[in-house]
Amino acid sequence: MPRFSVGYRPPAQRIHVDSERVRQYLAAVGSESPLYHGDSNVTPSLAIAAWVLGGLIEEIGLPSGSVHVSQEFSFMDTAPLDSTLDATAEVVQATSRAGMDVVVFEINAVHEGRAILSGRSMLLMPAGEEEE
Amino acid sequence: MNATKRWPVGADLPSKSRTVTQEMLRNYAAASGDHNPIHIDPDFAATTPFERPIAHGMLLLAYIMEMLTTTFGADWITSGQLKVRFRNPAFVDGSVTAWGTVKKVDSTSGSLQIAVGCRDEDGNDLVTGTAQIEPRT
Repeated sequence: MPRFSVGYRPPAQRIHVDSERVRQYLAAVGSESPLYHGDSNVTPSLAIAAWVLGGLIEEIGLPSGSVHVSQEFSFMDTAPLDSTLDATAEVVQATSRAGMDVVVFEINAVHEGRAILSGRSMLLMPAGEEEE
Repeated sequence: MNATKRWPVGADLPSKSRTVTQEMLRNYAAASGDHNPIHIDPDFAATTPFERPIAHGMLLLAYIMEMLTTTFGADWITSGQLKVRFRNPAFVDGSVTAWGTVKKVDSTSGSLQIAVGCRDEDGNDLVTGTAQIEPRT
């Protein structure tokens, strides 16, 4: 059986966004978008998504050899710098096939009650314990 | 001029190519919190079917996002929808080009459906998918 079951919810994450963290992300992805530079007070949407997924991966202890298969995002709003976001994740699909688990996590990020983004991440990971 | 006229079917978004380096992957791991060794540990990566480090899928997605954000500005990050599949790995020292082509235009709502993706230096698809946006300006 898959190592995660449909309905499993890892603990919710609180993500603090500060300008240094955003600067580090923008440098890492080589972004030059004027939306995020100069006097901008906007947190890059995909940075938020990356932090949510990074936190999720750490929380669930994603096994080595896992692969990110597909990704969906809907971007609804922006979050300002120096703000705190609340993020949740839930397994919405989990199957096992040929020694691998296929798990789909639905993720959501909210700032002060406003939806910022939602998404679905399909991960392929080495299968968990075989069912006895 | 409205978005429908600016972005007719077949129009290409400005593409950009980058060469992926191991340092970029280390920096992305530090910035994102995704420290999967398949991206940052050449010794571990050598034990996988890929045999060498591969780029984070979310890093490739960031290149697509940069193209869409640069093109559509705030409209993209407040109303965009993106759906992609990671087809092939991007290897260290390989080239990645993010691209986008308008596939469908709704003349009533102004919404655009754009095929997006990343290709390597040999033209292999690394990421393919669709972006949807309703430009307001």
